Amino acid sequence: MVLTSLLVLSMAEEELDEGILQQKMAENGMDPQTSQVFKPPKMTDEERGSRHMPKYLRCAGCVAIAHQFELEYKSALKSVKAKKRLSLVDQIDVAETVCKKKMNEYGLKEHEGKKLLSGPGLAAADIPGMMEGGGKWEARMTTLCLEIIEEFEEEGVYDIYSEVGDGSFASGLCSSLCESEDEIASLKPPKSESKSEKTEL
Amino acid sequence: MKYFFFIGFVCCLFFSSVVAAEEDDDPVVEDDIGKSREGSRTDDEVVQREEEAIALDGLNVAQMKELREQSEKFAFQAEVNRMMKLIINSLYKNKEIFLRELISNASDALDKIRFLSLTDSSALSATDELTIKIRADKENKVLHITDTGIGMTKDDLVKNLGTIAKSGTSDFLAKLSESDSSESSDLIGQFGVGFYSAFLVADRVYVTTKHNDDDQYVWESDAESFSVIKDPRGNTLGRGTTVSLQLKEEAQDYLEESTLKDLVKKYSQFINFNIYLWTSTEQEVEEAADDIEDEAKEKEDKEDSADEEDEEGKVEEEEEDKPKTKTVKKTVWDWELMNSVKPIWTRKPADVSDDEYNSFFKSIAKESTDPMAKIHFTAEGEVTFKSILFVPKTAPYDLFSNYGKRTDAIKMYVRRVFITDNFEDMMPKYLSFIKGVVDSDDLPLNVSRETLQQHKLLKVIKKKLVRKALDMIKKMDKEDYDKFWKEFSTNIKLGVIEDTSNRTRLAKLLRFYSSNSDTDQTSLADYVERMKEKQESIYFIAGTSRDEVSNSPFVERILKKGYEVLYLIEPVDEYCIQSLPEFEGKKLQNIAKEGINLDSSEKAKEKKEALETEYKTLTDWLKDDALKDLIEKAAISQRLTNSPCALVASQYGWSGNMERIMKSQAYAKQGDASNEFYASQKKTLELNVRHPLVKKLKEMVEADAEDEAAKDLAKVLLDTATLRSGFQVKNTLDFAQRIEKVLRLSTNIGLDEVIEEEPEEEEEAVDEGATEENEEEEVNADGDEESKDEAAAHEEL
Repeated sequence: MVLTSLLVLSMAEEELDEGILQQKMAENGMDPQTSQVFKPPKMTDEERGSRHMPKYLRCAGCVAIAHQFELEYKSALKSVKAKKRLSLVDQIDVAETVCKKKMNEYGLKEHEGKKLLSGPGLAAADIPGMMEGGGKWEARMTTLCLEIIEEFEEEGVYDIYSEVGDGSFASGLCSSLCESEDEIASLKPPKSESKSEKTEL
Repeated sequence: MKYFFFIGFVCCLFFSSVVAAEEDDDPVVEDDIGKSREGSRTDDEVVQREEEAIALDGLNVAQMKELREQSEKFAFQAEVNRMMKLIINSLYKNKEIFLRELISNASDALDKIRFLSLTDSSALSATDELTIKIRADKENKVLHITDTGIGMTKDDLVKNLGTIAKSGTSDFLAKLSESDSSESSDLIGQFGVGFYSAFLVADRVYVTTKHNDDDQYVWESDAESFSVIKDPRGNTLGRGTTVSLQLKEEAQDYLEESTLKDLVKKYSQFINFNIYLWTSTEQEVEEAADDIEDEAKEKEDKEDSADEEDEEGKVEEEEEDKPKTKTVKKTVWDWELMNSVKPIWTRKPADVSDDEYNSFFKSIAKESTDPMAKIHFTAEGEVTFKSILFVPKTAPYDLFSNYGKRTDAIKMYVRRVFITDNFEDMMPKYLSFIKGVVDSDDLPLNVSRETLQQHKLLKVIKKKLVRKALDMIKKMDKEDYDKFWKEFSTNIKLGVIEDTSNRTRLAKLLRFYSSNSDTDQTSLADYVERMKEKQESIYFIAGTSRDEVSNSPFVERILKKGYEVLYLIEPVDEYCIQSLPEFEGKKLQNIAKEGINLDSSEKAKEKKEALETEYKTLTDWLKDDALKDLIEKAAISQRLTNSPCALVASQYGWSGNMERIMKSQAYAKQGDASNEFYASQKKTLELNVRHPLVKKLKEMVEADAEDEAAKDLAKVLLDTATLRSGFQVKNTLDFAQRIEKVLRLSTNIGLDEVIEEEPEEEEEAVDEGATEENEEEEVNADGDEESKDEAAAHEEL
């Protein structure tokens, strides 16, 4: 309850005033020492206003997109006989679904002073905290997704997937957007990280 | 009344000709001659068919009279009348296009029945022939064009040949009346009113038509009005339409075989149905004399019985009439095939000449000029299709008034069968100017258009078409591309905004003016190549004209430093470039916004920090006192040279140019929250610390923060900065009053000096003024010296 009211407040004010926060906590009988308060990230002009994914988040965005591609490929392959490839039509369908329908759960989270992209397939999703999402973030993810499609074309994305498989798909897809393998690994949630380690071993 | 009498008379003439043929030059509406599968091969067959037709004409005078009275008379819709006049006036030099239009209509009708037959096997039950046959009847000066297409029901006849159903009629009429001859000939085709061009060469036009769902009807018109009657001969066509033209005196040339041959060949090249012309050849045949006699006799009988003038029946002209069995020289008439129907896109590109491509383009796009570029390719892999795409030389006149609504640009074939040119988004909106054909073997034939449109393979085809089209544009040489850019630049810019999945490809096609050249536009790639070593971003500024942007305070320093600035002067430019996150790794920086960092060296940083401290009193005073609530903050500028200050939008807010464009959007929602948010965003006032006005202001503020004069100066500086930076001044009255105040001060007129009362007797005052003026003029006319003095006085003022 408190959290929702704080969230609404923060949406209205854009920036949350420490004073108001203290006051609200006192009103609701919360002890500043023991209570954990989640605050939405303080955003820069770019994070608030740009229609493109900020550069420092593009790698994370790509890793998330790779995750969604994996899910969609897997579900599409279920209706294809074993060992057969997806048809080009299916590949295009998957790309369309990923870019236009699966990009709505992402947003920005602040953790230990660092701003992270959060959402399905990203390590930041497991960190407790308040996420600033929806609206522009979905549009940014969609744009980034379409940019990746332009770079590889639908067939190219699928080729990478069928060559390297689940574990290191993100590494193949995001090499131009990420600085290193380590960066990609650090963005993935722990589970798939261990998985990829296993495949490497 | 007189009018109807005339029509009645006309009908009377028509029927009497059909039945009794009392007047020699009256036309005869032919029954269909093309019932056999293909062009008939023997004379006999033709003769037999002619006879059947004539026999069917056997109606007595009383029946005719009855029918005539029953025939319905119609007046043309006013637009049709106007259009026919325009067509006749604008195309009188280019009459022959009537044949192109009639052949094209026949082909469309055949396409329709063929398409129908894919799902309805009974559609072709009347005849499975799909041909166009053209025959000149010299004797009666009538030209017949017969197709076995879908035909028209009575309703179709009235609707199609009496009204213009297509939307945009007034557009078309306006366009037609101002275009020249060659353009209008394309226009009529584009608007589907080509039929009326028949009146270019004919006084009177008869359309006999049979649709599967209705009886055979005859439509007849003299261009003034038209009538429709059920054909007294019954169903002679089987299925299809015959257009019979009673040629005008001056158009008799179109009855000549050689003329017709040339024209039909010219206009049938890309028709996918066989087109036959009724032609004669001389042959020497050995024949028994009996046969000839028999034939002649037969003919006579027929003439008698049917009471019909046998102008068509003379299929054979006997040159020699020798008795008994001898060699006979005969003129043999037969249907001669005029076109080869192998579609051009199924041929190898290497085997097709440029001329052929050009004529093909003209035929599908209904254009008179050659295309600017073309691409002919076969896509292979999961989906196989062949396609030819063209870029026309000029943009269609309604490119943006009908943006995204035109769908007839790409013709879709499945296994050589024309399906439709009406699929939505075969090309994205911004590429709607691309014309061409697509033919796929992988799509199903026996489904409805709607089902086909949903077909998944179509998605693949669309994607490939777009990529190929962009490829074709990319491959144009510079000279052609310059022309292309002139015509279609807005399309490409809209593409950058709309088509994210081709954005990088499209970005490479962009051209903008820049400070690099006064005349030539530059691509972003060339800009990047010219970038200075330390330059981090691509700089651009947007405005209404090159003059405005090149004199903007924002470009001063950047140009002085030797950087190049892109000048975006089209309304769509700024929006377009905002859609690009970067180009080849370089950020695109609007120099009217925050985020300019011209010198990132440590030394410059230190210097900047020192200045910031030095001017802190002033900047704080501006933000919190003088211009409180008017600006976001005041800052030391890096970009100004000559101007004292500038108003800078935040990196993601609206620039002055954008604000102007967004505010003038005709379709903008009133009080739209996001627009209001952008519009009300406060801006940064940047100060040029080397400017004396700013220095002076600093002194004044440091001396007395409450100084009213300093506050006024700050406000006027903000006003001018607002204007010079391309924004609108919000409170114009306040602004005017401030300027007047400044004027008073600078001319040493006291602020409290009152305005002189206006004299009450207004009218007299005006008169007086007028006489004074007159006197003055007279004085001036009298003496040159005085007027010189006056001029000097003016100068002093």
